[in-house]
Amino acid sequence: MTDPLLDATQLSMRYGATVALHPIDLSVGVGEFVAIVGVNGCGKSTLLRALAEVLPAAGKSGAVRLHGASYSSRDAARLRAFVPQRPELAAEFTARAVVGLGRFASTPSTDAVERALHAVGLHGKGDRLVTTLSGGERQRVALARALAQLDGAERPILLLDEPFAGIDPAEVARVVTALRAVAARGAVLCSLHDPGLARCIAHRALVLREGRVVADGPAANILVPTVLTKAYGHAMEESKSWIIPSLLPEPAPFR
Amino acid sequence: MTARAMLPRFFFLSLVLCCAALVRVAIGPVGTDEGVRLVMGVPSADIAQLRVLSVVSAALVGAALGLSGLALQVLMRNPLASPFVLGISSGAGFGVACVLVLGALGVFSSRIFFGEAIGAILGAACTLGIVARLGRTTDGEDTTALLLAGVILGSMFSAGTMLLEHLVPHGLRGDLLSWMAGRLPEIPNRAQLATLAVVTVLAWIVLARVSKALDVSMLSDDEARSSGVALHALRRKLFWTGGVLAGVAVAYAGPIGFVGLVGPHIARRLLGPHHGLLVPGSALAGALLLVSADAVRQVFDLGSGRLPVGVVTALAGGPAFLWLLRRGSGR
Amino acid sequence: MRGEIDPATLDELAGTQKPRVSFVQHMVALLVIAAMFWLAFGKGSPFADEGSASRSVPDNAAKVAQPRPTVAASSPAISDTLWQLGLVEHIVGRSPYCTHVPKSVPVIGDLRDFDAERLLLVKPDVLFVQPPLAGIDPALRELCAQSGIRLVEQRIDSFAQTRALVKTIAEVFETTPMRGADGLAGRLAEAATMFDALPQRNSPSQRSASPRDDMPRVLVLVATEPFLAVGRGNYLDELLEAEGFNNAIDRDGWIEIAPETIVSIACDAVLGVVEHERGAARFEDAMRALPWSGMRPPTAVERLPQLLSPSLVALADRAQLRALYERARQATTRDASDASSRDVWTRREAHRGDIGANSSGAQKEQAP
Repeated sequence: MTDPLLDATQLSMRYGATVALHPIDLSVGVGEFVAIVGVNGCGKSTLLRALAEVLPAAGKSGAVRLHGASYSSRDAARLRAFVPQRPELAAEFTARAVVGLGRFASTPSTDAVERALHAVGLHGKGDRLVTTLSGGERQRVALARALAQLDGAERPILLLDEPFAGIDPAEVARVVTALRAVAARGAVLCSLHDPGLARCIAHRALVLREGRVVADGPAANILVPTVLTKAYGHAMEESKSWIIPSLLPEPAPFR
Repeated sequence: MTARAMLPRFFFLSLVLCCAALVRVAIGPVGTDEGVRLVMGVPSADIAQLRVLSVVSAALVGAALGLSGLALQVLMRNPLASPFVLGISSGAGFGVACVLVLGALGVFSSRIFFGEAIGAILGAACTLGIVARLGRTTDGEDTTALLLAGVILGSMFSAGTMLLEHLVPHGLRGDLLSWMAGRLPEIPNRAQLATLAVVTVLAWIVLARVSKALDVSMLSDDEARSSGVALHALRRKLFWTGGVLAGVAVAYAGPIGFVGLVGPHIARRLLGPHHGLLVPGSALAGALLLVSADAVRQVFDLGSGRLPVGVVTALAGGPAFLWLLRRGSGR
Repeated sequence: MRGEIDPATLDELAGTQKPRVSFVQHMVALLVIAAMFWLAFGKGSPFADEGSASRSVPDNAAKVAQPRPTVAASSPAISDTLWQLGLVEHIVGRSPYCTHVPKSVPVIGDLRDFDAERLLLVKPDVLFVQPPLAGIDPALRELCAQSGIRLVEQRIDSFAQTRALVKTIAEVFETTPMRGADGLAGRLAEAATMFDALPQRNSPSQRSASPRDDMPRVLVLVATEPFLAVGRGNYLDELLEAEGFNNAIDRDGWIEIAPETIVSIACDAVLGVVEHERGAARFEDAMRALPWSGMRPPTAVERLPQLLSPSLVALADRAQLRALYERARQATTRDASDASSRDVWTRREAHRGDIGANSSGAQKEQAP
C-alpha cells in the first residue's frame, strides 16, 4: 500500500490553558477532496494550520508527513500550499506579482503564473494593484498564488481556509473547477461554513466540534441533518444552495 | 513593471548622487585677496582629498542608514520605523556620555583612541542585545515586543544620559550635546571609514541575498511560512543587520535623523515594492540624501557658520518626501 | 422546532460570571490611597508649608559662622570674580560648576534652574545672577523679594559688563568693616587698573584702533568637533586685542568654521583654548590631520578653563594668551622636521618686519 499523501499523527494544539485541538489522527490519499465543517471556533482553522505546519511551536504537538516523509520547510513548499482565512498583503504589488511570489520555493515560471491567473479568472486583471481589487478578487489572487506554487508538483496538496468567503456565486464554479483539477492529481482540504456547498463539491467530509473530529466519511453520508444537528448543537434543516448548473459537469482544463 | 523597466530610474538616482557629490567637491571656501569666499574649484590636492573623503563618508553613512531603515521597516511591518526605533541612538548616546564621564574622572587617559566611537558602539551593542533578549519568544522575534523594548530602553538610556550630563563637568556638556545633534566628522578618519564601508557592504550583501524572501514576507505570516520562507531566521537577520548598521552609523556620525526613515520610501516610490530593487535603492537614496545635505550645508552659511547636517536632512528630506507622496497618490 | 436555540446551550455560551471584588479588598484600597495622600500632603512632607523649617540646620547657626554680607553666585564667572577679589569666604551658595568655591558650600542652582529650598536655607544677603536672554523667572524674583534677598542681575558677555559687576560688588561690600583690613580696597584698585588697561571699545565688535599689520594675526579655537572659533565682539576678542593680536576672524560671535576655512585663512598662529585635557588631545589630532598642503602655521593648545568665562580671573590671566602664542612659535622653530612650516614662519616674520618699517600704504587682508 502506498503512503498516504498527507498523514497526521496525534496533531494537537493548545493556546495557553485552552485546548484548541485535541489529538487528531488524519490520513488523506490521492484524489480526495475533503471538506471540513463545524461551528466557528471548533478548530477548523487550527487543524488546517497544523496540517500546513505554520502553527507557533509553543503548545503544538504531533507530526505531519507528506508522501510518507518529513520535509524541510522549503522542500515541503513544493508539495503543499496553504491559503489562510484572511490573506493579507503589506505592499503595493500587482496581482501578477503576488501570484509570482508563490514560485519562491521552486523555479520562477511566467507560464505557471499565467495558468494560475487563468484558473481563477483573473487573467485580465494581472497588472492591477491588489489594493484596487475587490475582496473576492483578492481571495482569488491568494488562491492563484497557491496554485502557482503547486504548478508542476506531481501530487500537490492544497489546504484552504474558507476559500469561498466573499466570492460571488458566478465565480464559485470557476474556483471549484480549479480545485477539482488539483484534487484530481493530489488532494484538497478546505474548510467551509456552508455544509450545502460542501456536499456539492467534496468527496469526503470531516466534522469538527470543540477541537475533536466527530464525524469522518463520504460527504453524502455525513452532511445530513442528523449528524449536523449534533455537530452544530441545534436543529439543522437541509436547503438548496444556489449554484451555477455548469458546476456539475467537469470542464476541460486550460492549456 | 519588471525590474528591467526600473533600471532607468536607478540610473537617474545614481546620476543625482554623482551631481551632489560633484557640487560638494567642486565648491568650497578658498582664500582670495578679498578674504575667504565660496568658489568653484579645488585649491589644492590635500583639500581635494579632504572633500572626496567627506563625500565618501556621507555616502557610506547615508547608505548604512538607508539599508537599516529598510530592514527595520520590513521587520516591523511598519513604514514609519527608522534605524533608531530599537533605541539604538539613545544607547549609543549613553555610551558616549559614559566615556566622557569616565574620561573626566581620570579612569582612563583622555587621549584614548576613538574613545567616543567605542563608547557609542558598546552602547548600541548593549541596546541591541537587550532588545533582542526582551523581544524573543519561543517562536522567534515578536515584533511588537521588540518595538516596545526599543521604546522602553530608549527612554531609559535617555534618562541615564541626562543623569550623566548633569554629572559631567561643565566643559564636556558641549561635547555631548554636539554629538547628539548628529554631524559628519569634519576630518574623516580612514580607519573608521574603512570599518563602516566593510560593515555596510556586508549588510548589503546579506539583504540582497534575501530580497526574494523579503518580498514573500510581505504576505501574511502563514502564507509566507507555507511558501517556504524561514520567517524566524529572516526576521533575526533583519534585526541584526538593521541594528548593526544603525549602531555603526551612529558611532561614526551621531544620530542623524530622517535619512533612514525617508530613504526607503523614496526608493519605494521610484522603484516599486520589490526588494530586489529596494535594497540597492534604499542604500542609494540614503547616500543621495546625506551627500546632498552635506553639499547644501557647505554652501549656505547663515552668519555663524554651517548648519548641522541633521538639520539640513530634516529640512530637505521632509518636503522631498511630501512631493513624492503627492505624486504617488495621483496614480 | 425550527432551529430554536436550547436555553441550556445559551448558558454554556454565556460563559462564567465576572469575579466580584470583595468588601475587604475595597477597604484595603481605600486605606492605601488615604496613606498616600497623607504622606504627600500631611505634616513633614516636602509639599507642606514652608513655615515648618524644623528639619534642617537652624538659619541662625549658619549665619553666625559666615562673615557678612553673605552672597550667592549662580555662575562660575561670578564666583571666579569674587574669588579674585578675595571674597570667597562670603560665598554661601554656588553653582554646580564653580571651581574656586569649596565643595562644602551648597549648590543653589545655575543659570537655568534654581533650587529654591537651598536658596532659602542659606539665605544670602545678595544673590548674583547672570540673567538668560529670556529674562529671569518671575518666581525667583518674588522669592527673593519675600525673603529679603537682594537680587542683582548682571549679564556678563563683555568686560565692560564684568566691570559693572565689580562695581556692584564694591557697593555691596562698602559697609563691611573688613574692607580696609583684608585688602579688598587694594584688590578693587587692581581690578580697576586691569579694566583701564583694556582697549576701550565704543561697541563690542568694533576694535579700538584699526588692525595694525605689525601685530600677529591669530585664529583662536575653543572646540574641535565642530571647529568653533573666537569671533569679534566677545570677551576673548577683547583679550586678544589687549594682548596685541589681530583676530583672523572678522565676524561676530562664536563662529563654526570648516576645516578648509581654517587652512585658507591667513594667520600667524592657530591657538587652542580648551577646558579639559580631552579637548587638548583632539585639538592636536585635528591640527595634524588638517590639509595644510605643507603650509602649516605654528599651533599650540592649552587647558585654560579660566579664560572660557568672562570673569575677573580671565582678565587677570590674559597673559596666558601671549604665553600660548610664544609656545607655538617655539614649537615651530624647534621642530626640525617641519622645515616648510619654518620657512613660512620666517617669511611671515620678515614680511611683518617690512610692513612695520613702512606701515602706510600696506594692504589689509580681511578674513570672513
